[in-house]
Amino acid sequence: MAKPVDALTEDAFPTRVLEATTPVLIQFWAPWCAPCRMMTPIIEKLAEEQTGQLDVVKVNVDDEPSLAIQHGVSSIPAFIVYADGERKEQWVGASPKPVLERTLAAYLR
Amino acid sequence: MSDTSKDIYDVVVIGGGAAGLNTALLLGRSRRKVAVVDGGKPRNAPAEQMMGFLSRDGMSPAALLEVGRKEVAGYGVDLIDAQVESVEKGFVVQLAGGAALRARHVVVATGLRDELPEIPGVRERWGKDLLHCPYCHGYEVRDQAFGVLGTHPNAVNHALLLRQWSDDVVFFPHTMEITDEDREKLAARRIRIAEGEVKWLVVEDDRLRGVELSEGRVVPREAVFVFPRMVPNDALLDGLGCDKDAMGFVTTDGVGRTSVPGLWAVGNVADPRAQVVTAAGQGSAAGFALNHDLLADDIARDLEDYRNPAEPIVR
Repeated sequence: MAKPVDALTEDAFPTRVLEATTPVLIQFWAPWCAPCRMMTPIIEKLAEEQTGQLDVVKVNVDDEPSLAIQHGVSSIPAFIVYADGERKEQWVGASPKPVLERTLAAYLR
Repeated sequence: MSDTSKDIYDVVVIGGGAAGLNTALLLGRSRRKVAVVDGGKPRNAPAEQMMGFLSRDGMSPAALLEVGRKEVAGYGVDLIDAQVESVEKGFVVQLAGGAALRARHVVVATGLRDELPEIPGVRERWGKDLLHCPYCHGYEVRDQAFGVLGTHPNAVNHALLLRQWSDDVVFFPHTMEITDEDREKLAARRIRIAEGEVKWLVVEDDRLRGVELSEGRVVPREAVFVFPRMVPNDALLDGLGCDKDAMGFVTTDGVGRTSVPGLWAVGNVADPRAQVVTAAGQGSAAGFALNHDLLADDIARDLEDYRNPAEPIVR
């Protein structure tokens, strides 16, 4: 079984995301959000498969409200892709793994 | 004290909420023979606190009624716990279980019921963090993340109003079509629109957390507002043929007289906008006017007796 992805904090955001050498997928979620929980195993599997290619982290919107506000996240699960220190993609809603992979195609190996 | 036959109440008040009890309070203090019949199902029972009532701000609805009942009983008003089955002209108030009360006037203060949309979580959170009335509960949730459910034709206006209590308001059209004009108003008030059918309210640890849409996303929210369909509990009035307005509420003059002489309606049964304090005031005004109507009849009768002293008095 895949291991949980790291929880991203506001403090870690500059080094973990903005200065990253690989693209980063951030999932905004909350423990009480059923569609978010549905995505958890999908995200973990993806993170495992794409190790070294795509960094995957998650943000609990209850713990890190300012990160959610900064990114204009108004509903969850929300996904944002950063590459070269810039926000490249942003979307909302749960989806099956193949759909997620199609969306992320440009960043996957 | 009125010298009407002991068997006949001057006034029977149906409904022992703020409107009914305040009617009875005024009439009891006017030494009228009064009964209040109450079925024990107040509209605001799900709320822990009643707000916006000067000197009673924050009191529980149950405590208000308890104090009110004690005050009214202190003036000799009969408090009867029963359901009323029907009212016949004359008046005869028929109670469930067989008893009947005769009355010169009848005040219907039976309130209204809030019919809520059938969305899972709505009924469970009603009066907690699923709210209706910003004037009643808005201040307590000020600045929180609000949602407004588009389940009533008045929902957009409700959202526009609620923006006054929080900068963070999301409108959920659910299955409702929003006109371009309304869309522009919402945008102008910086109210976001979350399109999509609402699946349920997300609740965790006895707390509202968000609104889940059927397309698989959740909008985190701390308080959600709905505009319920307000239905007056007026079957008793219907039985007597009272006039109604276009909204389906009984029409009354300024103090509660319906189109049927001797029959009065006060509080939410006649006025969906009345808060507890308004309903109490309406009850007081009705009691005042009602006592004068009774007095006019009393004077007319006394005059007749006075002018015809030989005639035996039969009542």
